[in-house]
Amino acid sequence: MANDYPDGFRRLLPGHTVDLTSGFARPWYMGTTINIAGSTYSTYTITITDPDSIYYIDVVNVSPQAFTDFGIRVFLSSVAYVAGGFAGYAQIPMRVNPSIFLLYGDTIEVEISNYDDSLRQFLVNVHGTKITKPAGFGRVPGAYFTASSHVSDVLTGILLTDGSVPTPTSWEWNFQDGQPKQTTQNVYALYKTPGSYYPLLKAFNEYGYDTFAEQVPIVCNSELYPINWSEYDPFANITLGVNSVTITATPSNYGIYSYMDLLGRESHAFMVTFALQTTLMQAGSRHCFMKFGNSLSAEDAESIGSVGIELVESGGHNIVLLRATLPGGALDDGYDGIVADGTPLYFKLYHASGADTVSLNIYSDAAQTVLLASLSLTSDTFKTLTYRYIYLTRGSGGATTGQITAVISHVTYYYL
Amino acid sequence: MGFEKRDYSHASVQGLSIPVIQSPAFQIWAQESFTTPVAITWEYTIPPNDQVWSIVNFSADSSFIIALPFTIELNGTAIWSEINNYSVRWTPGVPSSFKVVHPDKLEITLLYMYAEPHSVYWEMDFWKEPVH
Repeated sequence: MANDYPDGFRRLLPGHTVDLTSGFARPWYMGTTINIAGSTYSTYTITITDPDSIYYIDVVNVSPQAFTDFGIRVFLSSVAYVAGGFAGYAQIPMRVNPSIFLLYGDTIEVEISNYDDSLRQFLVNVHGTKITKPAGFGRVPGAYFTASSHVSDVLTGILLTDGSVPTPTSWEWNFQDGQPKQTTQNVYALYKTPGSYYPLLKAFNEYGYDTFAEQVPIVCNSELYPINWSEYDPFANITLGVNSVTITATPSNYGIYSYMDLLGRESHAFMVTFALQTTLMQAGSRHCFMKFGNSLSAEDAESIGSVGIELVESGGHNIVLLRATLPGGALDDGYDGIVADGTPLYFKLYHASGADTVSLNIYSDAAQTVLLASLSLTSDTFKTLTYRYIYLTRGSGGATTGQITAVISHVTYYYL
Repeated sequence: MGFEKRDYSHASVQGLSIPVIQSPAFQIWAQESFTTPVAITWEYTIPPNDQVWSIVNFSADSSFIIALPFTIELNGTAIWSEINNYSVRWTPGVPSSFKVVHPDKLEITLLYMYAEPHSVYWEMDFWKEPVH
């Protein structure tokens, strides 16, 4: 029993320690008599006004003046911790939870419901033990937060709102996907990889910390819905739908695009799949789809580099180019065996972290079982290339005005 | 009046320091109104918050004295069951409590047996320790 301390619980927890003085345990008792009208309830409240002690509660006793049925709820600082129905008397042992103690300003409320039709008198007693409050002892925040939603799409933020009581002095949010922890009070959970996540909040004050996770995970779906994308489209060439984006004309310059900013973060690797339907590009025109870049500047002015897919017309049919614009120049790998009658093609663009190769598989079916072509580019630049923007669609440098209809849909993005 | 209910002398001289309790009290609860006989189950999955949870207390009351048959299951196995008109309470406390961690699931089932309308309230509270 060497670890059985005066609050009645074994002390095996890690954490910082506080000094106690000998002979600190003292009993405390408060009570009253209250009259409660028939079929109503009344509350006896004790507010701790002693700043120098920690109050533990041993037992709550309630005795009616005569045998009767009644109900009790015991609230600690407005949170109900015990409920019960009783006949004749009530003796409620309270010292079962080491977390329950009272400090200066805390309250214990004994709510008594008189189930009888007539007025009854009840004697209420609260017994406990108090110890001298050591220096450095105080109430740790009860960590808690709420999420604005439990379903999201990749790169779509969910607001996590701190609800810890008492208010912490600092916060640490772990999103559980490997991204850096954040330390502001309220945060956006933003996931790049589909999956189920339990964000973890660690709430601190000078006395310690508590952790909280919800019992329900945030489920991050893989599909990127174009409705969440940003658009710069002064000539209304691009229509963002809920599940697709339609390009009705290729503009004469590259200053038109729809894009998703990686919201302040950089990606070093990715895998993206999407479907693309096009008609024949006009001779001399070209257009980018699903391009990964590092800035919002012109395609050929990327300071670090970019990689993506371009369509160009050649000899009366479209050519798919896996094209990178790098500081050392441009790289192409092309496939010209596609039809341009609106039949959908399915793409999978892939760049592993630190790899010197970017690859593109082109399929004729959504299940990605019928492979039409595999394209790849290799450059040492890819090993360190970082991406901040995804262009769902953008004009390509030097293009002439040309009419096509292109629809891009089923965009699934994986942050690797 | 007050009196010593425990002998603390063995503890008060054991040392000059104790670790500070880190985990604030935490509870789950529900309140439901019924008008007809029905069985209802509340589910709670222990979240992955890097702590071991001890079930230290379960209590319930209703808006009138009625029999409240409760069953508590842990991962599909009943760990406590009681039918009582008065003082529905289970207080295993810390030493003999069930220790639960994510993804353990608690199911609290109430069989409401009356055709008269009453509301029922229950609460369960935990003692949470950091995993160490």
